[in-house]
Amino acid sequence: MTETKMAADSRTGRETTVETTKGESTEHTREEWTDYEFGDEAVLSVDDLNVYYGEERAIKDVSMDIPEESVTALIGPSGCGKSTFLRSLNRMNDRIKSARVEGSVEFDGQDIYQEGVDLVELRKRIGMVFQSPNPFPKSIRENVAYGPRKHGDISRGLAARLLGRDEKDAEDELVERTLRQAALWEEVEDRLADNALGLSGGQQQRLCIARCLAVDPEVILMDEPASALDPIATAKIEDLIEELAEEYTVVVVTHNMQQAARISDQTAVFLTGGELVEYDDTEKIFENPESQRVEDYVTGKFG
Amino acid sequence: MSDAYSRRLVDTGSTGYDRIAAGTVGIAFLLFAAAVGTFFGWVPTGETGSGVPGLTYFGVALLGLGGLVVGLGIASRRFDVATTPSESPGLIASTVLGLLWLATVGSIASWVLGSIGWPLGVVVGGAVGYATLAAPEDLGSTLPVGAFLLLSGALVTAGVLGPGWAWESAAFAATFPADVVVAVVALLGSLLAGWTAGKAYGGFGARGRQHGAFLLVSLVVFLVIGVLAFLLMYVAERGIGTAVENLSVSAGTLLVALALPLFVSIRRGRRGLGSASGITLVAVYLWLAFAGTLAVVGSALGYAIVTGNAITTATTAIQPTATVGALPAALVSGLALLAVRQAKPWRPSDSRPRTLKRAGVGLATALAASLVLEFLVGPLAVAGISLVGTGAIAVCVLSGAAVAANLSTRFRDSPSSASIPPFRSSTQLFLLGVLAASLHVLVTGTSIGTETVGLVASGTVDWPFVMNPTQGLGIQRGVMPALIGTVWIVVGAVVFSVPIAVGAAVFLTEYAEDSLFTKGVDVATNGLWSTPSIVFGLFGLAFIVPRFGNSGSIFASQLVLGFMLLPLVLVTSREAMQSVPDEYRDASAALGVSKWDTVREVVIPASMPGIITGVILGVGRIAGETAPLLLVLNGPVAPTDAPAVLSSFEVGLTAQPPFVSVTNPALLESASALPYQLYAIITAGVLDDLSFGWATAFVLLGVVLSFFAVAVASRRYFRRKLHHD
Repeated sequence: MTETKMAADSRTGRETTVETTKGESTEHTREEWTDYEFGDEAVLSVDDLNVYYGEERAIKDVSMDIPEESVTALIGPSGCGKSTFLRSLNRMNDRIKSARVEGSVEFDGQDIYQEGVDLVELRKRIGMVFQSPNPFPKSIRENVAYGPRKHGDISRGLAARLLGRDEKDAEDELVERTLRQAALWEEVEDRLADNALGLSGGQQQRLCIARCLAVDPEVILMDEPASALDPIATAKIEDLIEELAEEYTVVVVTHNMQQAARISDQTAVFLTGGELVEYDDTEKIFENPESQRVEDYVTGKFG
Repeated sequence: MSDAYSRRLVDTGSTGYDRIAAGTVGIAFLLFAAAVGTFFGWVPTGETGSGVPGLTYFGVALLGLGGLVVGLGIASRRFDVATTPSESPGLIASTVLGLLWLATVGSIASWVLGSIGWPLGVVVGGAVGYATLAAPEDLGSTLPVGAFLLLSGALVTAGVLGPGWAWESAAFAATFPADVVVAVVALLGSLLAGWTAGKAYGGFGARGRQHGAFLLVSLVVFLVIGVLAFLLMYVAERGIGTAVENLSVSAGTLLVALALPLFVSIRRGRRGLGSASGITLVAVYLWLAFAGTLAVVGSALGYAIVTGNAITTATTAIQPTATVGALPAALVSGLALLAVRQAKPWRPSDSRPRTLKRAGVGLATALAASLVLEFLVGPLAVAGISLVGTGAIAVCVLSGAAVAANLSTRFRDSPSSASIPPFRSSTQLFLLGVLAASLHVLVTGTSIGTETVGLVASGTVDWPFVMNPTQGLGIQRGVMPALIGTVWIVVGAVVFSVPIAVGAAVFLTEYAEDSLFTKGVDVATNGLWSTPSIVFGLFGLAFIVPRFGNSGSIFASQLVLGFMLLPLVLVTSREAMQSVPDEYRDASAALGVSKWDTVREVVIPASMPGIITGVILGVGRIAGETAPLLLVLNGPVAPTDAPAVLSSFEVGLTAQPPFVSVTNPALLESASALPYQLYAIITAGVLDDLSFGWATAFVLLGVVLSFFAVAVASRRYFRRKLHHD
């Protein structure tokens, strides 16, 4: 036990407090960290969430509050349900036929799983970036403008042109602004009309982030956004996430613990069976977790 | 001993052994080609000029190949040659060679000894198979092949299988003359020799098998291409004479038509000239040579115009007039406009300023509007001067001057001046002007220019076979009604069925969940596709024809062929949509975009190439379909009390579509179609020769291939939109 603790601390570069004994760290009960509250700032509030795939329960009684304008990291070993949890936050699980959800997720004080929820509006306000970059096979400009055009925020095309309502200038402005936000503008400003599939993987992922920003969401869910990228592209994405947290609420799933430690304000640890084991400030999770299992996990003892 | 050699890491150059093996492959190819040639009568099998029967040459070639193959095997085993044979040729090769010897010995022995022959063949075949399996690869795969080649070569050379010999099979009532048997043996022998020599060239082992297999599969590809090319040439050779009889074209029209291929070939050649190497460089030179040929043809035409001498052959003529047909001019300028708009700019800086672009769009809109007005109302003119014609000419002159100015700066390598509009925009404006002028001439029927130089509505192309219906016996042979009928029927079928099929595919793929229902639809679709076309025809005759005018009609044919096209387009569209990655749908849903918008904006564009592939295949089938048209266009019609859904259909416009002097006033009148006319011509047996039929087939092939060309071009367009190349 003590050795493990040492290793963890050398990683975070802190002085070791060897006094922590096995008995003390494992005896903390669930109640102690579920009390971790953000009060009125919580933009998403999950209560007793269960997700089933057919008979199998992928998420087990998860409750947590996600505070606004911060980065919340979800970590855990493969198959622990963290991606499922993320997808249940904007009801992307609805797209999987066998998935069934119990419990509630409150967004702006309203349960998104109640009847009559407008999925279009919900997903406009809670955007998502996926694990592998998935730009549409269209031009860079069309990729960014896709959401706003479809939502009628910007009217383009022949009909708009004939009616004299073509908003090319507004679109130019939007494309430039979001691409700048996604730190991609300098690399693509000369070739906005080129197909997005010609970009590199890291550029494609930043384009996907720009595409998501273009519909002006409040929350951005990211499902391992850097796992398919090389270290340099990953660093760019991480910087970008930290910048985005100034304006947006970011929830990011990652299996890279250093990444979670670097970029997130609070961290939720999911362990096998879809259970939320611990959720606290990132520093606390990585330096002094309450639960023995979490400590084992973040120090690399298992998982 | 060859085993001492390990595989060469670096091929330092060919050895003598390699060269002999490659030569053997070459001889095998030649023998293969010659054997194929005998089937078409290109290669004589009987008496030749030298007095030796043609078959003997095949015998000698087989003997030579046999010797080479045996030599390759023994050299690899006995001499100091860098080969790496495996321990055994493998089970498949042994089985094939065992069966070869079973058949060879069995047939020879049963011919000589009677019924005891086949058991003997089985014994020998089994022995050869086992020996092959047990032998090392270089001997195992060469000796049985070589022995077969030597044996058959000896039999042919010695005249045992010479002219006059025939194999009368006891098993079935047929007689195979020597030239057929020898050709088949030569085909088989050359394939085996090529395969073995290919293996030897790779030094046997894994690399050798790779070479041998490559040789066989590439031969198959050449065979397929060869069959297609031969079929086309065969039809063209027989049909083209009648098809172009009395064809007469004005030199001016021909010059305009040459402009497009000239433009394309210069572009292709120019682009690769600096960077290309190897095969690409050859292609570049071929493009440039093609461009040069076109230029020579063009100058010849120019010379003819200047001197006023017509260029004539026995049946065709090029008139020395500089008048250009409006329809060819419209087609050429329209295609060129599309090509220029699609092409990437030659220079990155050659982008269009916005004002010029707006001017171009405005001009195009104005011209299009006035052309529609002219079509509906009549020529727009002030004081006898046509507005559209004059405007178009003015645009042409101005932009033509800009193009010329641009070209001159390019040739002098001086920096382009700011006062000269960019090359691309002025080219586009010029082409737009030509397009507008020719459409104006087409719509109004009034020519622009003088009698010798200018745009005229008609008369520059006189192609009797294509532009006339058949009249009397031998007065005029023509396919015009059938040609127009085919085009209308195919276009109608596509317009009718593609939206339905794509819509159904969208529903099944995007909306319906996988269930018994969708599976049922899939089964039904496949069943519909394999339904014989005559059944569709009968259905059309019994159900559709009575409801639409109760006579054979274009409309009924369009519907029936549309029904036939439906399942194929449905299946291919569905497959194309299923292969669109789910990530696109997820991404779109995560942006809060509704399902229908996702389908329209992402799924359908991404599956467009697949949908078009389905249409291509379907059109290929229905354009040549005869059986249903036989019934629907000309089937027996009985009085009926079926509800008449549509009993008359008149096209109200007075203006006639171009080219058509015998229009159907109504969709509900009967027409002809090329495959149907072809069937009628051949079976009627009135005409003493089949040249009319061949010419019809030639035109039909041309029509189908043009449909293909349009579809392939549009598929290419959508593919380029999807990918970044």
